[in-house]
Amino acid sequence: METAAPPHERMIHMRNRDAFSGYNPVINFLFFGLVLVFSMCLMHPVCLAVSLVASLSYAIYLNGRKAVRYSLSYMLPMMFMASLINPAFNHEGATILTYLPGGNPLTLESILYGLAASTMLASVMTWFSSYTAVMTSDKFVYLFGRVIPALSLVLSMTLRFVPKFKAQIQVVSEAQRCIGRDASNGSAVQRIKNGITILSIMITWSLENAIETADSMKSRGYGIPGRTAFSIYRFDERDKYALIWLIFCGVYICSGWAIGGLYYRYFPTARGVGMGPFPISFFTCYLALCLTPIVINRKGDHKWKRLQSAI
Amino acid sequence: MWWKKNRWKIIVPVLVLIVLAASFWYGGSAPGAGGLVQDDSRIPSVAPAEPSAMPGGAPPDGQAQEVITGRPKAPAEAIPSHETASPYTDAKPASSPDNAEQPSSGPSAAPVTEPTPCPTMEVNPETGKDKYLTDPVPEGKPLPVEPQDVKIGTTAYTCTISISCATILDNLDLCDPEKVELVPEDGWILKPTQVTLYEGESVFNVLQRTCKQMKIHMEYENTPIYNSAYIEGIHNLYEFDVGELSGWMYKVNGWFPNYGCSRYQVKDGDVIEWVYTCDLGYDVGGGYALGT
Repeated sequence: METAAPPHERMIHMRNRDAFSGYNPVINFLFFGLVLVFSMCLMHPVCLAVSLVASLSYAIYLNGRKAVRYSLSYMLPMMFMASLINPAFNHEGATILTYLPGGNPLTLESILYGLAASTMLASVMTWFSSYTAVMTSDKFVYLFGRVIPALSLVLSMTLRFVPKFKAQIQVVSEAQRCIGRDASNGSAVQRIKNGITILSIMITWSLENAIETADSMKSRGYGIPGRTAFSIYRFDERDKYALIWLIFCGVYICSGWAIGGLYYRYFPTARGVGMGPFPISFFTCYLALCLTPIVINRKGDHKWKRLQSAI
Repeated sequence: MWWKKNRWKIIVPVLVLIVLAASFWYGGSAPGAGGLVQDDSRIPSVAPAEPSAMPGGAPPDGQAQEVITGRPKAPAEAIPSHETASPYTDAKPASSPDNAEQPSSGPSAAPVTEPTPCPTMEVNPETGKDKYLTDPVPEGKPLPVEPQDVKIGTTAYTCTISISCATILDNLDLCDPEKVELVPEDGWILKPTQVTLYEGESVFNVLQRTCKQMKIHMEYENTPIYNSAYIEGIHNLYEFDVGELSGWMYKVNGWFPNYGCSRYQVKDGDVIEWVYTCDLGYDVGGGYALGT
């Protein structure tokens, strides 16, 4: 079933996507954990803007043109839809702009909240697209394979499922096309029939594949106490500094959050903390946290260029 | 050994239980946040308030009753009898002379045994409710009118409407901190005001138009099962903003109708009061189970 990839391709898969991916998985996971939690919970407009900009720039750094295309063709319409849908269902707010045909008021606050919620949604989705690029399943199993072996295997299999399914459907569909039974061959009815056949093949394959993976892991003694797992990761100086930096940012932003330094409310009137020395320090810290991987990557790129030019 | 092998089977459920209990507690179900403690104190507080608010009892002034019912009352009933008569005997279906006086209610002519107090309300005998889940309306009170059957006329009348959230002032500690600033100092969002009313309009129509004119925020939701609009919030004060038992209620001429505001047809001179309750109506004299 599994075709061995040519050596150079395998190298690409093994290679880290960027300098930040080369850090210890603990650092990667902690960073994404912090950033995702803050993106979801901090609804201050400045925080939302910071999170969206940083997540987009990191996703573009990682995925290049694909990320731009994705955010323009999916994120932008999604944000537009969300900010339209919210005022249609939510009529809270003190500033009544006009009345909807149903008789409920259209309020400024509900539009603002729709915008904020859609920004939050978009930035979380963009962070997750970077997360899947950086936190590969082997990193995830490395982190959680000892603590929760069964769950981490299930999780990594689930996360791998969609890309694997897509790759396999390509293989099956090409094989079927060779014998003239692809979903692109024949009349409309025939095409549907062929498509259903391919789907049935895929479902059988995925069920069988899951069982085979589980059996294979079991036969290797996965999760048995006392069994060690090979890992290529180490925790060195730069990881230590990165960990200290992440913990500092996390604690500082959490304390700012707890004392209300990042307070913002949308109902009944939209207002919150303005610009003062303390809120600005929290925002700056948040921006620095979100830009951490980009800064690390830039530094790595510069070092590489300098070393190259020195030769 | 056993502990080592099974510890996660015990620790995990215990953790889950703790998390659930904490969320239950802090989610507003803690005693004191409108839950268990108030339940006990409610029972004595209701008892004195009930006779006057009971639908079967005499309304505050006889004139209002005449407007609603539009039919002559037996002289014995006009006397305020809530001191002596128990609400149950009062709420029983009309005595036969009362029925005979009505010229229009001929066809259905309810027998004395039928529990429906009003002959025109179609009550499902199995559930004891009409098709929009309304219990029989107490005698002497107007029947619900389905808004889809009504044609709004052009004849203009006047009625009085007021919106009050005075009960929040007694429960400020329960109030959502973001909403405290909205509560007026005297509790009146709209002091009793004379407004125009067109023939056939419901309490909901009057409230909606008044709020639009007075630039008061109001949000409602149509609930088909009760065939009525449900008022979720007025002046940005929403249901559940002051504890779990809070929300908007309405009364007309001192009575809390047991059906939705879209089904209450307003008559000339009616007094509509919208009141915010923090305790399922018990703090405004129209308890949750009023009328049953």
